Amino acid sequence: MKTAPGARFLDPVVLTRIGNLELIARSVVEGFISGLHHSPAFGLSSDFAEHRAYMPGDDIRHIDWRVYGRTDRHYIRQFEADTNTDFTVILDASASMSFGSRGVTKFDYARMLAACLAYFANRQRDRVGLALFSNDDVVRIPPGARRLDLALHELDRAKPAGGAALLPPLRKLSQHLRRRSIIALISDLYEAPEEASRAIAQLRQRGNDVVVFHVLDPGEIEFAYDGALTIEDLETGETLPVVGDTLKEEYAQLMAEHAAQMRRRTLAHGFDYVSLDTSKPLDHALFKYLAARERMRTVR
Amino acid sequence: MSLLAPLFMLGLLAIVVPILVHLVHRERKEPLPFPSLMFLRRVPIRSTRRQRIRHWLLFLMRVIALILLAFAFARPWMKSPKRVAATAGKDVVVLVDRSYSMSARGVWAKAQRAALDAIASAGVNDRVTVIGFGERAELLARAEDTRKQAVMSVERLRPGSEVTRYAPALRLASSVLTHASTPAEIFWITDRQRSGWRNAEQMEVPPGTVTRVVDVRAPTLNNVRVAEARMVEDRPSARIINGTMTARDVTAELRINGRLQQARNVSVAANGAAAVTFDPIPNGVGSCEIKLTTNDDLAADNVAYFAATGDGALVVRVVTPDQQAAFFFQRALAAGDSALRVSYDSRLSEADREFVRNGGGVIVLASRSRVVERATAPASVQVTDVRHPLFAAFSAEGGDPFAGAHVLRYSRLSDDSVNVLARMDDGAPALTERRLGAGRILSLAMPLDRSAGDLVLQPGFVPLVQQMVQYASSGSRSQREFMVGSFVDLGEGITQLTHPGVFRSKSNFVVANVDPAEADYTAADVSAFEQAIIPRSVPGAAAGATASDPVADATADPAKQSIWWYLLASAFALLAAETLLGKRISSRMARTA
Repeated sequence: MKTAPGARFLDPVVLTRIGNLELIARSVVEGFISGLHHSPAFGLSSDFAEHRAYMPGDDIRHIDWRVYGRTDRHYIRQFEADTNTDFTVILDASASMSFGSRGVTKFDYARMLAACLAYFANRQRDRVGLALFSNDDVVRIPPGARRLDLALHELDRAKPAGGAALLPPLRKLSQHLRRRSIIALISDLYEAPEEASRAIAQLRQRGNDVVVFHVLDPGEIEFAYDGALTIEDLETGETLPVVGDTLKEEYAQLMAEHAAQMRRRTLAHGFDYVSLDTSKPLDHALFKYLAARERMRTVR
Repeated sequence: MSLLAPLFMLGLLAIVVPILVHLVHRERKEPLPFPSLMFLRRVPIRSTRRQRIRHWLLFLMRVIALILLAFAFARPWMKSPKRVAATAGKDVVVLVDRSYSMSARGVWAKAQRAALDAIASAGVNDRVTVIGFGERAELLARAEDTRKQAVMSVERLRPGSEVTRYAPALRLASSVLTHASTPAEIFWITDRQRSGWRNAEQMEVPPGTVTRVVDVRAPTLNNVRVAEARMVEDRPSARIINGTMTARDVTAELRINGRLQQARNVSVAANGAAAVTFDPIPNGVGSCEIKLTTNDDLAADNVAYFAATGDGALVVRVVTPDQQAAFFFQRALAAGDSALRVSYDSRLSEADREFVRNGGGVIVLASRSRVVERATAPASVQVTDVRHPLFAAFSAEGGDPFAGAHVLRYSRLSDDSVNVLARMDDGAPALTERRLGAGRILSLAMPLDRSAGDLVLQPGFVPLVQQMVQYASSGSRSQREFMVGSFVDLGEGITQLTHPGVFRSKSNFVVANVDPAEADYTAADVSAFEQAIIPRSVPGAAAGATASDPVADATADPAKQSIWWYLLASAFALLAAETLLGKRISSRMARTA
């Protein structure tokens, strides 16, 4: 799979220095799209759905000239991908998301990812919505055609805090999903796999297409600390003395098992699971979004 | 390798410290924020407690540095290869007597042959030490030297002008054998003069050490010597002592400043003495010598040097309250044929004191009528310092002219500001010396008569009186006459008088004569040499044990200890490198954290 040249080399650490989410999102997405246009292997979905009469302002590239040749009238080809859908980003804003070992925290990465996804969705003329949750608090922006700026604004001002059990907020959010949607759940999923799976299952109603982005920092995937030290839980404040180099191996194994379980359970629900670490460029996530959008075929 | 301070090896226990440091990690002060303890709690406790050493290079550097420090402070000492290789051999010490009596006819050649034979008798692995001795002992060839060097040291050796003293040679031999554990062999190459043993000296040697006395003394010593050469008023005089069994006719030559001036033919009876007096010479002529021309076995004492500087009349004043007390004194003086002039006063006057200040000598005898002490029992008298010049002539008899004397009555002499030369049994001064200006006053506490005791009847009385007069008069001679071996200051630094003769500086001169005590050729018994050594006690070691004394061995040769310096330097270099490496690791860990 080829990535957009511009997006590939946009290190998330570099992106955080840009500061402006919209700019970040635009840079990443436009670069991604540009790369897609040049790729022979993949492109926007162009499956023909129906014709409709040309109206001023329509993209003349979509005029079906064969029909014009037969009828002398201008008709626009309407593709399946042109159907707009609801796209909601559910972002974990708990305190654990504030961890970062490489200059970019998970929340900053998740925030950029959410912005890029929202921008991309908006560009595809989907209705963009946003939900931020921590503890039982949920900040929700319902999907809408002109909600991008609001979503970006909320993303920009959000601060990670508090704990994050997934079930309560996801249950609450699921009640607000009126239409079949594409949902991007961005979280570090620090919950027992069965509990997390039960929470994610709340989103399955109405045939929603869910992509779970499991975001982690390299420093927590491989416990990167040596020597005797005291670890403090960012969410609960609890402390635990450990000797780093004596538990690396077992910790990494536990993390890998957890990720594997999350993947298995997520896939078992028919959802997509993407493991991301904050060192990876964002275009990989965008591909996943596109794939999910491909599955959302709506023929009017 | 041995250790001089093995207890410092306990410092190796400090190796526990870096082990603990590397296992017991230093905890970060600040808690590290982490997303969740979810997985950390699930890691088994045994894993968190299992420790392993990190940074092996740093750990090894610290351990090695501690080991080097412990060894450095323990002062390792390497045995010399020669000694290690030669442990099978024994120590052979050859003591060669080079006093002037060894220059007697035929004696020195015999002594050299004997010394060379002793060296040749040593085994291939034996260590030979050669010591030459007279009044002092000198190491001529060390045990580490080659056999050839030992032989050459004997071949180059010549008899000196010193008297015989066995104690210094024995002390030096004992120190040579300090770190020897195997039985040694000591060869005495000597003429066995009894005068060489002052006291019953004894030295420790390794157990099983054998003493071999090679007697090289002449069967008889036909010796004629000159003694007591001095100016008597304006006339040079001396005594000629004939130690042979036959009467001798000798020629005595007077030389002034090295030039022959006068000669006298003197006949001396067998085992007798005769005085020789020359014609008057001007006062202050300088150095004089009286030399005998005779054919005897020992030429070293055939010449005597003295100073004719006109420093003062050689007169001694005897202060005695009554003439009868002076009777025995006068008789004793006359019996000795002394060349000194003695005057008698009834009391110590201011004129006498002035006489003493100018270098004269006064002898004060006790008055019978002024005796205040009565001994409850006959008291004996002991010399306090046998090395005092007054008693030099008595050295052969153990330095005690009062031997056998008993005192019944005596005067109480003050011992304030005086040198007490002899004391009674109860500690009361018997003979005192008081310096006054350039001269001295000798005071005798016992009246010289039969009522005070039997001192006047003892054999030592006559020589005591003569020596008292000689000594009292010596102050007037402004110290120009010394014995060989003395150290003097001629105004150009301290000079040792190493041989008989005249020693000059720009402004001064002194003369040196051989010690007349060496003329006593009485032989010491061989047993005296055997009894002089006692086996060193070695706890738990049998004879022939090879245990050595590393402390003495190493301290005898500081070069063998130098390894500690290199160990210390290496330890410090390693610690410096460890510091740099530790800082680098710490900063790297900080960046990672």
